[in-house]
Amino acid sequence: MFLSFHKTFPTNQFYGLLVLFLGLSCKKAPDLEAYTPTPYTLEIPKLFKEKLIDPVIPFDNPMTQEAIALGEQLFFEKLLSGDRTQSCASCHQPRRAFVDETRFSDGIAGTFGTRNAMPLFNLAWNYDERFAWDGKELGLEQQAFEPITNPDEMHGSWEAIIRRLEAHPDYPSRFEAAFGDDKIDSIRIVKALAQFERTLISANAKFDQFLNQQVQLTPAEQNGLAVFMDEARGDCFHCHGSPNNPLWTDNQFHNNGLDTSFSDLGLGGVTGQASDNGKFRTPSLRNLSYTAPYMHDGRFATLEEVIAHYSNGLQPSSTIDPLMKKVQQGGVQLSEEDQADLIAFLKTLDDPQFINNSRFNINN
Amino acid sequence: MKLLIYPLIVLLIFASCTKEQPKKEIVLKVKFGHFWNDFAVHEQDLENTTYAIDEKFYLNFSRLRYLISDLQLESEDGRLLNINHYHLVDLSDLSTLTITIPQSVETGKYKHLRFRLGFEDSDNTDGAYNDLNATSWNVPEQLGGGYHFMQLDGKYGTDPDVITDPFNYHFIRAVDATDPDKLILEDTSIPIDLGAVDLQKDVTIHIDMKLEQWFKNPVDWDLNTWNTTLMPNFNAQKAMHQNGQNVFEFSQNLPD
Repeated sequence: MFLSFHKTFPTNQFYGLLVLFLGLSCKKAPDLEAYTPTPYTLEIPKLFKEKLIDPVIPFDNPMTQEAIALGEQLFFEKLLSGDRTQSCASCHQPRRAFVDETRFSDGIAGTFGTRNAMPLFNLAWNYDERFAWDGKELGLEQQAFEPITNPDEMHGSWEAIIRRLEAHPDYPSRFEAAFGDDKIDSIRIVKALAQFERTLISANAKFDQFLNQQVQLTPAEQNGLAVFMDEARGDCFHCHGSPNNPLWTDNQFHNNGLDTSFSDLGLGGVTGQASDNGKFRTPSLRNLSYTAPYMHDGRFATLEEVIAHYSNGLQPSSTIDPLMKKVQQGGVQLSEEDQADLIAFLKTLDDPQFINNSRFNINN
Repeated sequence: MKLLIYPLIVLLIFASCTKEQPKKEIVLKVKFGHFWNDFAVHEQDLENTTYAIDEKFYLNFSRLRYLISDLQLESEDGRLLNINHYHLVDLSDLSTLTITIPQSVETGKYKHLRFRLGFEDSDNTDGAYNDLNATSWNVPEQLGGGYHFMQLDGKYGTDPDVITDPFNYHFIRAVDATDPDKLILEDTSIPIDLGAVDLQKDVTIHIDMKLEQWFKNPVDWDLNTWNTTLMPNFNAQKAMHQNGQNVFEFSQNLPD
């Protein structure tokens, strides 16, 4: 058998084939150690860990250090807008808890939207994953698509954005580091942005420190908390959380008695249900000192105006939430002292460390 | 020889008859339904459908959430099968209206199907349940802490065309907070025994809440008197406890 083989298979050819075979197997070797980005575990604050269930991380967008870093760079990147003048951070400024100071934000064309920019923090704890004031964006990745192409906002085109990023000296390698190859597309862009946004965690306000037994509240702040938690006075806790819900929002949709009729349908515009008209997502009460003006349309410039609304400015309507008590009398009729103390308490939910994080000051 | 064989045969037959048959296992689901005078109440009825209480009050609902705990079966020989520690039902969230029991259940007759509306005191620990905290289901510390048992919110009026006044029928552990430093607490959670069930096949047990009962049996509920701010109202909580005795009934379908 060997003789026969030897006869029909010359030695040179045999060794040549052997070398080729070995060469092929060497080429395959890198596949066995394919590059994977570095997994990132979200740092969950102590209070959140103690009081809340786990944050929502989509299974198809696991967090990695490289994608978060890319998302941060993209968040501050003006190439994402039509005329290269705006980034996400233009309206979501870190020093303002990721909002801007205006009632409505102007886009690259100078036109204004109709809603106040929402602050960005603790977004991974929005368990129903309905984002924006009216809940129209189902998921943080989905939300990130919207402002980039919205004509009233950044008014970019994905084709142009991708072309710019592909031509950039830095981005192709950063996409490769984040996703394993240098392909750039809109899905990867929003995935990176969403990963970065999930790292924006605010959990070191004075009240957090109080709950962690590190500081004391003043008498005014204590009374403000009591007003907040008292069903007969502020009754804020039903929608805005409590010391046991340190998100300070239920992330649900309520009509809080702003108008008797609705020029903006809110959730109703999304669901098509008249019973949802005039309902908007409850915002968190964290960082209020940095996020004026207030409400979905930014109609109130100060916290005093907000509290006065709930105290004696409620407007009846078909969908006003029954939790808006004494609407026939205009509201819960808080005393001046209680109103002032309530504001003092609300300010204990400000997190200066969050807005002064040097990590975000590079480009802003 | 024959004398020996016949007793042996009889003994064998006897042994095979008395040997316990292996129990089968079934899938058990519990489905929560809601009714007003036998008319089903669904999510789409929220803020849309008007209900009458003896033509005295007219009301609609905006929100219905309630907590049940310690759902369990008791077999005829007294063994307890704990089905679910606690569960929050939200009429506006379809996913909460059915519980599929994760473990399989042995077929057989059970003499009791039980649960509790709310938490009994030993379970009603302030801040202890992270999922309930995340949904803002808590009761303020100044009212003893713990968790709501039920939130039934809506609007009412005495004229069916003018239903504008809010009510917050919030059921919690009764508390007398006259002296804030010395709260008087009374466990008002409601143990419910729905009686015997016979589970032979995969089955869905329907637990139905008769919403009208909250307003009339045995306490005729005067919405003009008791409408909002009922959490700190000890007597209102006791009255809810009384009316809650008759709100549940059940039926079972074979199979689902």
